[in-house]
Amino acid sequence: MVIAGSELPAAAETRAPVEGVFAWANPITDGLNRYGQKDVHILADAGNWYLVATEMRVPAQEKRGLVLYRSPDLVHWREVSLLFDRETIPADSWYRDEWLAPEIHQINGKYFALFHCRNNRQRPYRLPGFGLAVADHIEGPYRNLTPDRPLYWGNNTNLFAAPDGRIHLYWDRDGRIYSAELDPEKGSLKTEPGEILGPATLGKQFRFLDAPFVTERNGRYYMITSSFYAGYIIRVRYLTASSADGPWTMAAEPLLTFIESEADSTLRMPYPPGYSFAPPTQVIFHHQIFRGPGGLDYLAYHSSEKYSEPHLVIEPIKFDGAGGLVVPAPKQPQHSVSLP
Amino acid sequence: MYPGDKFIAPSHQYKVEVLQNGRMQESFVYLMHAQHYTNKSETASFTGFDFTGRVTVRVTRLTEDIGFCQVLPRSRGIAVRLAGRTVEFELDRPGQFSVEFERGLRIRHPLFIFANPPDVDVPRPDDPRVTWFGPGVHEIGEKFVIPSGQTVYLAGGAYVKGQFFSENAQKITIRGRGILSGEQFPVRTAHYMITFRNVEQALVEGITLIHPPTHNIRLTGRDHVVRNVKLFGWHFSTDGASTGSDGMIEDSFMHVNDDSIMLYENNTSARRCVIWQMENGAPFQFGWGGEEDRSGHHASDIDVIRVESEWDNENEAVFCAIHGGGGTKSDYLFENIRIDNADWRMFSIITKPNRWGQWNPEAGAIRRVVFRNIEFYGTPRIASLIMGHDEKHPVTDVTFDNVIVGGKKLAGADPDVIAVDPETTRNIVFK
Repeated sequence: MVIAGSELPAAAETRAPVEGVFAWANPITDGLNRYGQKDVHILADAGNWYLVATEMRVPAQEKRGLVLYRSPDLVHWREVSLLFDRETIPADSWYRDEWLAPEIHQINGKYFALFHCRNNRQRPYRLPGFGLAVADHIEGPYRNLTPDRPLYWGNNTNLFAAPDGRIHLYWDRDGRIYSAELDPEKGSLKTEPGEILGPATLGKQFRFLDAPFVTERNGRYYMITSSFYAGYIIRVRYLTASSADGPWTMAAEPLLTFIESEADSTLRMPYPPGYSFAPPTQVIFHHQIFRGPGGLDYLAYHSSEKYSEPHLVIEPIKFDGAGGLVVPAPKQPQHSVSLP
Repeated sequence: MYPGDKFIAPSHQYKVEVLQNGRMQESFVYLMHAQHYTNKSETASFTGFDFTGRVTVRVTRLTEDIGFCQVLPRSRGIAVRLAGRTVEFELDRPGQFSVEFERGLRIRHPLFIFANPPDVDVPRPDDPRVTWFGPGVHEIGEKFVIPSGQTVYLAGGAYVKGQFFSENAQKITIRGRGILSGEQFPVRTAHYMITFRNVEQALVEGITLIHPPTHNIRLTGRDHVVRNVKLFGWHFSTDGASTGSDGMIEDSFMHVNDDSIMLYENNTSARRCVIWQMENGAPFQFGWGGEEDRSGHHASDIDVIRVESEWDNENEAVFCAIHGGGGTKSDYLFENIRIDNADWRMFSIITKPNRWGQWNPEAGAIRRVVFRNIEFYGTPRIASLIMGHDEKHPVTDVTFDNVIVGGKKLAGADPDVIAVDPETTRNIVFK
C-alpha cells in the first residue's frame, strides 16, 4: 500500500517561483507521509534532494520498512523506493520493526543507509539496534551489512564523515551521548563505543540528551542535541569542539526553544474509526543541518506538533564565524532566501 | 441536595430526581463540555446528594429516547427500570455511579451520580479556625494558602475558582460538598489544584474538582487522607491524586486524563474508588523516576469502569510503571480490582530511562509486585509488558494470582497477551 500522497490542505500560501529566490512554506507536506514524519534527514544528490525519516505509523498497521523520498526543489516530494521492505524480512530478524531515525550518506562514491530497528516479537520495546546498509546508487538496491546483529543497541545515530577521512558515529542511549568510529566498508566499528556526554562531562548542564547531530565548518566542529525540561519545554542546544573527538563545550544559550503553547494542534487528516489522531509525539528532538539551494546551510526538523502529525520544517541557519550558530527566523510559516 | 445556579451550565441532557419515603427532590445536574479534541466524550454531566438509608434515583433523558441503560460499577449489580425516557434504580449505600445510555467503549454523554454519605460535623462558619465558602461563586486566586490547623469548608452550592496551597503545615482540612474549579488557568501552566508540600495530617473530603489546568491533588508529607472527592480533568496532565507517605485515598471518583492514583512515596493505600481513565495515563501509576527506595503500596476493591487508551504509549496501561530513577520500587499489592470497559494494555511494568526521571546507570529496579484477584472484562488489543532495562535495572518477583482477562486466567508469558522479557526479569509467577 502506498501511503504517500497529498490529501493535505496547503499549510500556507504557495507563491510562484522567482529566479534567484528559494521560497517555501512550513510545514512541507506535499508528497510525504500524510500521517507525518519525525527525525527527518535530507541529502543532496545529483540535482535532487532525498529524504528519509521516522515514519508515523498508519493506525493499526506495522511500518512498511525504510521509505526514500526524492524532491527536485525541497518542497514537492514523492516516494521513490522502499529501501527495506518489512514483508521480505524474515520474521526472526533483529531489524524487522520500528525503523527509527534513519540517515543516508555518500562516502567514497557509495551510499550508506543507517537505521534503527528491533524485533517487537522478540524484544518488545527494548532499545533499538543500529544497522547499516550500502548501495551503489542512492535509490538502491541496498545490501544490509548488519544482517545478523546490530552494531550496537542505541538510537538516533548520526554519521559524520570528518575531513580527515575518519567516520564517526554519535548516538544517544539512556539520555547520554556515545561515540565510536565506523569502518563503513566492513560494516563494523573501528573503536569501542564510549560515552562522550553525560553527567560527568556536563555537570549541572546535563539533562537527558537526545538526537545528536555533528557537522564541521572551517575547522570548527558543531554538535546539536536536545533536551526536555519540566513544563514541556524542549531546548535544542549546540556544543562546539576543535576536533570530532571533542571535548565538547555547550553554548550558554539554546539554539531553539519549543514550548507547548506553540504546538500545532490542528488535525490535518481524518483517521480511521477508532483512532482519533496519530499517537502524540510530544516533543521535537532531532535536528539536522544540510546543504540546500544556493549551497546554503539549512536546518531540518519536524514541526512543533504536540497532538497532531509532525511534518517537515526547513529553516535557514547560519554559522556566525565565531563558533556560534544562529537560526535567524525560527518557526516562521513562510521563508524566502536570496540565492548567491 | 445542593443548590445549583446559573454560574455553571445545567445539563441539557439529563434531569435527576431522588425519591425517598414518598418525597421527591430534583438534584441539580451540572454539565461540562469536553475541552480537547482527543476527549472521547462530548460532555459529562454530574449531580450529587447526601443520603442515608435507601433512595430511588430517577433519571430523565432530555434529548432522546432510552434504548439501553446500565449503571456502573458493574460490581454494584444495580438493576435499572426503563419507562419511556426515564430510568429508575435503587441505591442503599453511598457511591459514585456512571449512568450510561450508550453501548461500547466510547460514551458521548455520560452522567455521573455522586451519592454521598451525610456531611456530618459541619464546621461553624464563625469558627476562626474555619474558612467558609457558602453557595455562590468565589474567586480565590492561584495560591490560596491554608495555615496549620485551618479548615476550609466548601458548602454544597459553593463554586470556588482557584487553587489551594499549604506548606510546612499540620492538620489542615478542605472539605464539604462544593466545587473547586481551575477554569481560569491556562492549561498546564499553573499549579496543581490542591498542593500541600511537607504537610502532615491533611484531609481533603467530599468536594468536586473540575477544569484543572494540571494535576488535581498533589500532597507531600505524611498521614494524609483523601476521601470521597470527585475529580474531573480534560487535558493531558490532569492527574488525580497522590498523598505523600502513609496516605489514604478512599471512596473517591476520578475521571481524569492522566494517571489517576499515584503510588509514589511510601505506604499509599487506595480503596473503594471508581476510576474512569481517559485517553492518557494509567489508573495506577508507580512513577517515572525517583532516587530513593519506595515501597509498601496497597490498592484494593477498586472499580475501573472505563479505560479509553488507544495509543501504543508506555503510559497507556491499567497498571503502569515506567521507572527511570535510581531507587528501588518494591512491595506493591493490588487486589480485588475490576476493569469494566477496556480493550487496551493491562500491565506496563518496566524500568526505562525517561525524561522525567534521573537515570542512574547502576541502579533502579522494581520488585515484589502482586496482582491478586484482578478481573479485566474486555479483551486487550495490545499486549501487556513486563520488562527491565538491563541486568542492573531488573523487574523481579511479580506475581499474577487469579488475574482474569477476557474470562481467561493469565497462565504464563505470551507475546500476544503479556510479553515478559526473559533477559531483564526474574521470578515472574502466574498462579
